Amino acid sequence: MAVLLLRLAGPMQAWGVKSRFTVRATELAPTKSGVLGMLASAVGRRRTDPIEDLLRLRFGVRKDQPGTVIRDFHTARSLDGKDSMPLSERYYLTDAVFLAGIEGDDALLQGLDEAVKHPVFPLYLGRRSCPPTQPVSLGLRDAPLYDALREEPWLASPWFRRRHRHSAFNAELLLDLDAVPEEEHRGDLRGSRDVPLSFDPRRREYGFRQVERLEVPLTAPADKPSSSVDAHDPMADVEEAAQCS
Amino acid sequence: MFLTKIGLDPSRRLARKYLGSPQVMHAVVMKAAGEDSGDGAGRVLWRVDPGASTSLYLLTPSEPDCTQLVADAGVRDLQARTLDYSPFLNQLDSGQLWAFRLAANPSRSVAQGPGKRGKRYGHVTVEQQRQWLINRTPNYGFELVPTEGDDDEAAQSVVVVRRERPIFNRQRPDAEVRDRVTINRTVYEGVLQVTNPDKLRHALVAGIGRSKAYGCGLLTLARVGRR
Repeated sequence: MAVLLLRLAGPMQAWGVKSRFTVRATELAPTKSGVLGMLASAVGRRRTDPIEDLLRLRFGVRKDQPGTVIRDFHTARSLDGKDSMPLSERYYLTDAVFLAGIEGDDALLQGLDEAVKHPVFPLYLGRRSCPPTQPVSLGLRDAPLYDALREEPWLASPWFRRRHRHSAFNAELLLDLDAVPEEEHRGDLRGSRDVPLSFDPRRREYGFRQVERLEVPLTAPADKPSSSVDAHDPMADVEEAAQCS
Repeated sequence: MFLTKIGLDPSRRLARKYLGSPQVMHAVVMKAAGEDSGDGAGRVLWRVDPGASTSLYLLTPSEPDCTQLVADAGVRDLQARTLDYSPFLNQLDSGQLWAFRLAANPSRSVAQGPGKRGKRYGHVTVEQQRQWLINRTPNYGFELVPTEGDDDEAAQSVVVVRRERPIFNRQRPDAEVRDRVTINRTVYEGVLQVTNPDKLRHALVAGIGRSKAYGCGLLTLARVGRR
């Protein structure tokens, strides 16, 4: 078993689970269906291709920088400009950085790692208008998913880390229930209907999974020692000269 | 001449206002410097050294009155420190080594044709900016000390440690439009050797290069290796 770690960050992300009709919502963390879909498109699978092998993968995500939700009142017209498309409200997460981990068979994950680095279809963070920033793949780790997600250094932006430089930042960790070791269970469970059974646009299907919520304290790596005293001090020599004269 | 050091506290509102615009800082500094602050070798020079603590250095012909400036924007419980510059200037002598810091506006003039005034352009790359200072050092009465183990001419001990481009709008009394001023502030550090004390004294007091009203031109010296 190996773990593939992904850094999901970009100006905007959108991870929809419950969207219906013209209100297109986003969850506050990447969904299993969204990330597995991104991996499948990186490999070059079409929507009707089988994804049974991907369903055996275990999934977890750490919210390194939670981001904020914005609403887009979306107006669009058809290509010839004659008809207006349905008005919709689309919600996005902005300024968010997530660490996602996929656990499963070594060979499969190696292939996925390669594919993410050289994707067949473009990668996007939940919605086509949300490209990721580089690097997406952080490579494979030889550790259980639970440990890999806890031990990876904090990925948040410098400005966000600065905001938490005096105290540890407690990042939420959302893990598939069966990826959490027995003794670590906190019992903070929630159901999520984001297990993709089929991406086929004619009959999309999703199953339930149990997600356990944990917290990981993250701290910024120690800042490089900065000399608090300015090395260049013209006053000292001017004062000395004044005393000597 | 008097050299003054004032600790500024950037968390204070007025300090941020002063630090944010060279023109505002110019006005504040001129107010502190008092009446007799003309041009030439007796003019007011200033420089801001940001870092762990932000310091404002002033070089003024007469003793400045910084009480208002310190009260508005200074670090609490810290007074301005003013020292007489003349004893220091008098002890400068040929052959001395000094660590220096200089904020300047390196620029060049490009001819616009006969009878027309040349147009000023800022030097853009670090190498151009270094070369600008290296070429002018003989006029200022010092030379840059070559770095050890390297006799290449480019390896002189001067480095560009910081580059800023403050931009602000300036209202001219006689013009209707506000003109936009861009200053190409470049901070140099290095080690110099005094060759002509008189010329160096003049450079220290009169400043180096352009934009002296806006925080450029002040050269300060400190003993090499002092910590």
